[in-house]
Amino acid sequence: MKLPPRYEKVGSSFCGGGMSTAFKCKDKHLDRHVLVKVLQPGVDQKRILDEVKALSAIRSKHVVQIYDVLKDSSGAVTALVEEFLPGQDMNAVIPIKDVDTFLRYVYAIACGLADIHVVGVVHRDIKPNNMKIDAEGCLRIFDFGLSRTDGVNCETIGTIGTLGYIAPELCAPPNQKVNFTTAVDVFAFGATALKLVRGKLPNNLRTIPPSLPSADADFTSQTLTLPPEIAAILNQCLSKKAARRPSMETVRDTVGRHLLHGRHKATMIVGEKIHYLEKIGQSVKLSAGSLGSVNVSYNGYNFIATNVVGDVFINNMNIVPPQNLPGACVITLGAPSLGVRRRYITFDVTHPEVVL
Amino acid sequence: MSGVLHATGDLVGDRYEVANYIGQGGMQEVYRVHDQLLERDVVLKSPKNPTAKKRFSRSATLSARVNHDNVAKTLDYVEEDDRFYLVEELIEGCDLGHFLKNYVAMLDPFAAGRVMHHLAKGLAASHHVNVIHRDLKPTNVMVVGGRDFIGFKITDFGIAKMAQEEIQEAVAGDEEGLTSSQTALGALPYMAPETIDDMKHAGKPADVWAIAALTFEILTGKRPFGAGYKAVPLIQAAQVPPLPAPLISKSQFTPFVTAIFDLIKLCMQKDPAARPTADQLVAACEGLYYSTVPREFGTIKRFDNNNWGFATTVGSDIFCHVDSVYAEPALAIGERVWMSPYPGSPSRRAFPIVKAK
Ligand SMILES: Nc1ncnc2c1ncn2[C@@H]1O[C@H](COP(=O)(O)OP(=O)(O)OP(=O)(O)O)[C@@H](O)[C@H]1O
Ligand SMILES: [Mg+2]
Repeated sequence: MKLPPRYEKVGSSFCGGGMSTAFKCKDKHLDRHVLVKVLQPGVDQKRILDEVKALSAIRSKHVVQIYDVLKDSSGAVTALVEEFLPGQDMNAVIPIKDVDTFLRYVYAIACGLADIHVVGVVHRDIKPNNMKIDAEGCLRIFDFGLSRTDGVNCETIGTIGTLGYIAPELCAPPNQKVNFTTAVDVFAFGATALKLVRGKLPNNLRTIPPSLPSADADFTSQTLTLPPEIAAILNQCLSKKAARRPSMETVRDTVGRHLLHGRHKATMIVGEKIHYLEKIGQSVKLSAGSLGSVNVSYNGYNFIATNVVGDVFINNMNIVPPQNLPGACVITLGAPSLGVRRRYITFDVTHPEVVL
Repeated sequence: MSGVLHATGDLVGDRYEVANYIGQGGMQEVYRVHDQLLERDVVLKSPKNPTAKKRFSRSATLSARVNHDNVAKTLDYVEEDDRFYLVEELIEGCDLGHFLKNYVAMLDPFAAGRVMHHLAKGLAASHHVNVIHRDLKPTNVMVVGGRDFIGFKITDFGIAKMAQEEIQEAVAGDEEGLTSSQTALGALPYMAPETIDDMKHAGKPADVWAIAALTFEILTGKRPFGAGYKAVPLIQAAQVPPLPAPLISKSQFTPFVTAIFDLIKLCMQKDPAARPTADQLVAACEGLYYSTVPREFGTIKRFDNNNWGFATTVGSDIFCHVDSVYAEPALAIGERVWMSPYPGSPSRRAFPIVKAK
């Protein structure tokens, strides 16, 4: 294919998974490198149209940016131009040895996939190969060459994807139609997370269909000790039944909560005095003599009210201990009938923001 | 309002169909256009003065180097019929100047800290590729979601270079000269002392200063040295005015306001070399505590006993206590407020609360 004069090939081409050939090019208009992905002859044109459609629809900081499409003399789309991401893919950073780094990567992938799914796109080829960390440290998902944009219910014929990341429901005999949803990406996400911790996928996953459940694929028994809730939700991502897998949104929010583990700070104003509660396991007793008292403790995720004695209200609500406190509240000690003799303590939770 | 350069339906670069005029500043017109090739809406920017071609294309290639979520993405550059265009990601929302003017003039320290953090991130990414903005000000910050205040993106990198001489002349001149240049007038309140002397001194530390001056404005509702010609000697003296007393009068806010103000002062030192780098500013912002609970607008419908009352919102009513109001001693019926709601009974409870327009 002859490139328009705007784009100038830099270096040699490399292959993109059998359907397209990719070149690094210089975009002379903006003086920057771009990637030109050309459909290989004989490959169904729908592949590139789907990829273009998916990339233009998605708005996510974790997804590669599309800039242009190129057409042949008959007006048919034959190539797309996207942002050039230098550096190595995620396979270069595995296995990951510390929990915080692992959680940050998994959070970024989950954010990206949630953004992809929210516009009705299924990626269908999620794996460490198709992700990179950009120059600013932001994880980016690319290669939408297998993606589908027709909403949450799609069908396909034959098994497609990459061995080890293929969801069980996609493994049908040849020529048989199978229906699939965004849950196939959730499965591949689970397999990706597993590869990040293990460095290699277990053989049980590398069969068609994957043989599950598998002890090797259990996130609770890897060398990296994960918080139980994280291990549990990642295990769910590898559920045999698509319906049992969580949504990427749920995964994202769960991992996001863990990224803030132990980093909250509660600011309490008692009278004119400021007190802070921010250490895991720390607890304070708030009391006003005989009016009432309550214990508040921090478990790393929430501030929990226990040991309620007398009349204690939170934002004017009765407490049912143990109760998680809202992010901002007023704790009132004393019955409403006491009027001005009641005591008020403001309680506000803040935390640093994790911006990836 | 409409633009001079284009009308709805015009096709630019065989690809971008003009949908509507968005606005203009001193140097360029901005349009919302439909990209027919990728079937999505984007923004088209074209300089008003077509002789500035070299500088405009330079600013396009500069911004194209920066790739970060807190910077508006540069998508394309088109030259056609003596005109030239930058194509940029469309940000559905409004610019921060518009937000301050029309919705909320003074943000609470939690919102202000978040803005500073995100802008510092975008700035650090641009400084990593040696791109200096030169014209950071509220109208060059886009607020994703507008009133919903979802995210922040810096735009118009290096474009001030186009107006460098104009700004320089206006700032070195007199009141009249300054007011005649819309561009210089808008840029001045955020200019660092060394750039007042000579715009050629606009380096990375001047961008750090500008972010701090902008943060000062959103935190206090006022530009640190005012606007107009009288700001010039004050900027040169680089004495950051102290925080107004009402901002630190409520203990619920004081530690957070002080933390941000300390950062502002660090960034607004006269000696450019003494200021933190953008990376150091990011690291400091990562240590700021705030909450990210979404905000709502409301109108005070009851404020019975000087201490508390209720605001109506599009959802259910919200309980508002005077202790939760930033920088104001009281609220009155009919006043507009901007706040984060938390569960409560029988009404939700607001914290923090700031006055809105
Ligand atoms: N990427 C974008 N998406 C949506 N709206 C935008 C975008 N970039 C700019 N705008 C809007 O276009 C309008 C004009 O912007 P412009 O940059 O011309 O003016 P300015 O920054 O106020 O002034 P000056 O050009 O003098 O610095 C602004 O109101 C801004 O809100
Ligand atoms: Mg602008």
